[in-house]
Amino acid sequence: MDSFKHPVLQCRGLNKSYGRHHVIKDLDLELSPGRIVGLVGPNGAGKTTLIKLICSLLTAQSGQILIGGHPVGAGSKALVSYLPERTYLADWMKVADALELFADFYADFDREKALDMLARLSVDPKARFKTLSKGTREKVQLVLVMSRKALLYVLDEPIGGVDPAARDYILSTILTNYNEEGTILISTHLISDVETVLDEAIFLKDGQIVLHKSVDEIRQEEGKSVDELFREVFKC
Amino acid sequence: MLIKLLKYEFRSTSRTFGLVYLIMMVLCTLTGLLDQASELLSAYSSIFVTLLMVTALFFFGAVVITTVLNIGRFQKGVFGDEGYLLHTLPVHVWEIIASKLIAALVWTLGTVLVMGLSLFVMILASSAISLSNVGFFFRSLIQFVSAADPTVLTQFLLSIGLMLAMLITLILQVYASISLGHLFPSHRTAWAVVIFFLLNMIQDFFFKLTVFRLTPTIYADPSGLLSFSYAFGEINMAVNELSPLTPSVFLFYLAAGALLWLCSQLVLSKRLNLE
Repeated sequence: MDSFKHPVLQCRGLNKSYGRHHVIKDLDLELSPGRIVGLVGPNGAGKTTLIKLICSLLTAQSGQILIGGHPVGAGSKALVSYLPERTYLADWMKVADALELFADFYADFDREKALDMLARLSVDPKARFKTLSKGTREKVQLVLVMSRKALLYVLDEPIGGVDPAARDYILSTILTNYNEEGTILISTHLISDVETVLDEAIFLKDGQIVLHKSVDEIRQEEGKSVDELFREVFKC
Repeated sequence: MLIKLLKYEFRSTSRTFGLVYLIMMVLCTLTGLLDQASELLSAYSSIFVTLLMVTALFFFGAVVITTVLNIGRFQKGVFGDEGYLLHTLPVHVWEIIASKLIAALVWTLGTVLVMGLSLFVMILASSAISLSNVGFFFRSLIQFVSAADPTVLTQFLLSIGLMLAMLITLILQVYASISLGHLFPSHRTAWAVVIFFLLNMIQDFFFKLTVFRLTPTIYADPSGLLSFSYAFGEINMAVNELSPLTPSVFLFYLAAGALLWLCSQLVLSKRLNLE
């Protein structure tokens, strides 16, 4: 199956609840290739849950997810490059081990590109993860994720909790390294920082999409920036 | 992909196990040498006794480390932070379970083997037996095996297979308990422990219901106190005929293992909830 002939992501009638708490409600979503899409919403809106469903870290109660036409499974995972909001690389690993792991499992991983990015960060590939600071670990994870030529990049709060300088580095790394035939889905609270790079924005509220438009449409139709509209829609 | 998963599974634990095995060998060698020395100089006796106790404690510790590491590798690797990487790798769920199972099996057998080897080294170092005696022992063993009744050998191999099946089932029982415990919203480890004992009881019930029913004339037990050890007792008793119980026990553990695997497989593929 040629993954690039299908929408990058299709979610149909997606539902997810924790006990009685309905986190994702009948969600339908379709993403086209070559887009940078911001997934925004207040805390508890269901952003991370939706991302975990897409990355098959959670299972939905009902509904369907297709990635490049593939149902969620080993086939779809080969197409998704996921950056979680936590560090997932084991302490025993050296940076070089992580590179080897990605090269072993992902056919689209570019080791040279990763080594180049690490060199620019002055990260020694022989360093063990347990000796690296939390910030450096997160940057190494970003390097790994962005060194893939994936169909869909799913980045969960990549610039949350980092200083402005690191934010700039992270955003420039994303923008200069992603596969332009693929799509980036980026969840964030810091809309003003990413607004300039977004093609589309998805507003998520109480597990439902309340808005999914291109950034240009938002500016033309609403006469506001994405950040301004966000503040208006999610006003407390 | 299974081979690749195994590569990282072994890499993650080889340093710890390597260190444990090395310490075990060194302790046993020193204990053996001190035993020999204490025969010549009584001042070494108390050191020898202390070291012997330390070695015995370390053997116990090695069993605990093996158990804890094997359980931890599944719990943390599959349901902890590392699971965020594992479940986003393009691998099938069966490959994840198989890699964990194979690694746990190899390390468990490795610990037993190194324990045996360490004891052997200790005996050699203490000069309780000489190298020529060791050679004689192995020559005699080979002669005994080659002259033995093929039925006895078959029974021996079957009993080895049975022990492996029991070990595999035990590991899968731990995995199934952790996986089923994951279905609860909180106190997942506590639930896993409860489920482990529940699964034990269910297995025990079905063992008595099926295995002994299959061979009622030989193993009818009016007291109802039959235990797994019967299977081994029977194996030891068998000299000239194949035990009728061994294949049924083997099949029982095979079926139990398959069902326990299925539990983990279903939870990981249909009910995974990494929070």
